[in-house]
Amino acid sequence: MREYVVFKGSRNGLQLVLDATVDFEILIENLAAKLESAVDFFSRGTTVELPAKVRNLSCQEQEELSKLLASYGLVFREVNEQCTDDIAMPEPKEIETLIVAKTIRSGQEIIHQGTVVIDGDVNPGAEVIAGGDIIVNGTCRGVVHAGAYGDIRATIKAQRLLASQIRIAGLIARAPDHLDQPDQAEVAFIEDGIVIIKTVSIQEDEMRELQA
Amino acid sequence: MGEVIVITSGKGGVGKTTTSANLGTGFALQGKKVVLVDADIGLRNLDVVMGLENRIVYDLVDVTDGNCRLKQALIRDKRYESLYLLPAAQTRDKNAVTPEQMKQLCDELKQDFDFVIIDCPAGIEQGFKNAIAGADRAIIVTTPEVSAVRDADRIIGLLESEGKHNPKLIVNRIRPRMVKKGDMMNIDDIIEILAIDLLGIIPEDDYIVVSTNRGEPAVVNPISQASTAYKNIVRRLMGENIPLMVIEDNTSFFNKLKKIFNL
Repeated sequence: MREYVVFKGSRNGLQLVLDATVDFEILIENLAAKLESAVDFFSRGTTVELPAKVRNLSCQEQEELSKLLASYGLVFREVNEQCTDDIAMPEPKEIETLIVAKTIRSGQEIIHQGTVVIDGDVNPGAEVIAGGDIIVNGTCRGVVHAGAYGDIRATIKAQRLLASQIRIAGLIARAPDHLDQPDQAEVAFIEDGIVIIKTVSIQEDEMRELQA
Repeated sequence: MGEVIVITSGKGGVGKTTTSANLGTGFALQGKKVVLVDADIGLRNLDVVMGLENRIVYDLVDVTDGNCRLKQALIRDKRYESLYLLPAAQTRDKNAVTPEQMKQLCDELKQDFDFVIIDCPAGIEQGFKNAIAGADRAIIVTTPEVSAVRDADRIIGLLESEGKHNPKLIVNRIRPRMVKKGDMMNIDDIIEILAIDLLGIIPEDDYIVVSTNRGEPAVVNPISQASTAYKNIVRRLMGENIPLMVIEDNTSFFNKLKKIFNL
């Protein structure tokens, strides 16, 4: 089989070279097979770049590509400033939420531009870095960083919030050396320049929604 | 100008990290300025043993990659002011740094600290090569088991080929009762095979498990036997002449009685 998708090493990570003559679906299939066959080869958090002007992708195509790469822990960065249909539609698009349905273990890293939902635990030594909110449907014992690109309104929610460190935007809160086990879901957010952790009650959630 | 000491063993699980934590804390107790460097990138543990995990913001790889300054990555111990930790990265692997970078890092740390203690990862691959690159001297940790002693021998050979001569030996987890019965290798057997200077012996001590789980090195506790052994090693490393500890088997009834009457 001819290779339509080629990874090249570059100074900033990997470069993705896509064959311009082949359909996008075939490229995606090809890429998925390639990623699957070399899961261990790609270290998590590696940046993958798409060189400019080689192949023009639509926003949807770019998103699909980004999602596929993200599911293998790779971070997609387009060198093209705009995707092809951006010119026609200049409104910024909402970044999709990444849902991870597994436990994030020590040494694993989830990095995503938007909100991240973890259906599982975040173990000690694991890191979750999100541009938006972080929601952990399980126990969170690792390091979580919400609003990593500066969004101070970002929140971190967990069934059991036992994170060793909570980072929101540019603030870092360290867990006390002896942490009591919470028996209720908790949420962390920034208020008056400090990180606050509160238990989540249903009413409060509804209030927030009403306010919004 | 300080001294860079690497704690290594070849085999895993013989007590490199425990030894690093205790020697580092021991030096701090003697008023020395010490930094512990965790070279086990991807499998870091020293931060947990020191109880400093929740303070990590930057790590060793951030320093070598130039993401932060060295001072930003150093974590001050919560008990001793003169003790610092440079944690390893957990989301990277051993290839994230090169021996040259480690050597440069050690040279920089040596300027500010009396002792730089490097906790080496198990194995003889890249991680080991990184850990020993900047070391002035090496301490080999082994346990009284043929497998650990064989790995220690291999490590001594590798250190020699890297120009690191005269490593010192720590025999860890000695069980006096078993040695007495001849069920465990004794110190003389080990020295005969390895033919290097003995720096100290550490008795098997349940308190080590407790201290590791608490994130508080055993030397902090004056009652534990291992604590005394580690303190002696620290003083020997500082040039004092301390005789080897006679490890008594205090599990037998008679010995307990002896202890009560202070005989």
